[in-house]
Amino acid sequence: MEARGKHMFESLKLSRVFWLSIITVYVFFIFAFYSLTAEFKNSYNSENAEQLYAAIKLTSVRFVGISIILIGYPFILLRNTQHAKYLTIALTVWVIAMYIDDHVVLYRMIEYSDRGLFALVQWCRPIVIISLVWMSIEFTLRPHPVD
Amino acid sequence: MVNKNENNSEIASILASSLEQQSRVKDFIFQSSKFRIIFCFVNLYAVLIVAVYFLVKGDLVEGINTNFVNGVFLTVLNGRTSVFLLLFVSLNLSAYYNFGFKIVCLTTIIYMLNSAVDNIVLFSDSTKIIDRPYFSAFIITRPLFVIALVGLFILHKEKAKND
Repeated sequence: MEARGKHMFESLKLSRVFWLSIITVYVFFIFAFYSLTAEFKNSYNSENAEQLYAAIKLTSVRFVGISIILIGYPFILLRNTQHAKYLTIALTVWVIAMYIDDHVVLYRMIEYSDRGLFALVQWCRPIVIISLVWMSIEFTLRPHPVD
Repeated sequence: MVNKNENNSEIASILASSLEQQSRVKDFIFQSSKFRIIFCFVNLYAVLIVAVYFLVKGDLVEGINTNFVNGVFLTVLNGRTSVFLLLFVSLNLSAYYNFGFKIVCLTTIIYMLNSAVDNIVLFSDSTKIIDRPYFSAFIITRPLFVIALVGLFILHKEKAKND
């Protein structure tokens, strides 16, 4: 059983950087989820409570979508690389769109906490974007075996 | 007479193969009529969105709550329209050159869905449909636009059938 699972992952012929990127993405989102729950308790004591509350509200809604994608992603990756390619590109675009929205479009509406875990999560966002972009590039450019 | 018929069929096959070769040289792929109709609709819709945005921004239409337009929503609208305009141009360019159309289309779908979710979460409590009748028309019909984009994504042919 273990050997079969190992063979399934090896048959995808993806590089080690890809697997490192995927681990980075999962670890980041688990960490971000933890920081969101921690920050929610402190949001009422902040100076910009309204904007911080809007940011937490928006992040919570986004998390639901991202969680569904991340739970389903390994299954799609093992079943169909073509679908996994488009799902990876979609997730990458979404994460980039959220980053652009937060910093260019919604900067007057929402405000993330600049201290604690939440600040660290914000600082790590470009790293996750780079990881996802790498995953998308590898899926697009590397030849893959037929599903 | 028999020979003449044979010659005709030979000429027809030669012409067909030469046309095929020519289309391959030009790298020109005929999209289906459904695709072309949906593409025209998407373009028309996008042009109308941008036109309404400029009309409202330039204060050229009546019946809009000025507090709403001068508020935070205009900042959001400025950013959104700029990004949307870039995506719209990229979509047309990628369709014309037949390069990365599916990726650009997917990007536009995701961006539209993301902005819709953001609007629902952030502005649903503070604004009313009557404050923004022109934009509300577009917000209500946005699912139709997203469905049209999904249709483009599915119907687009990247390669000729015989490649």
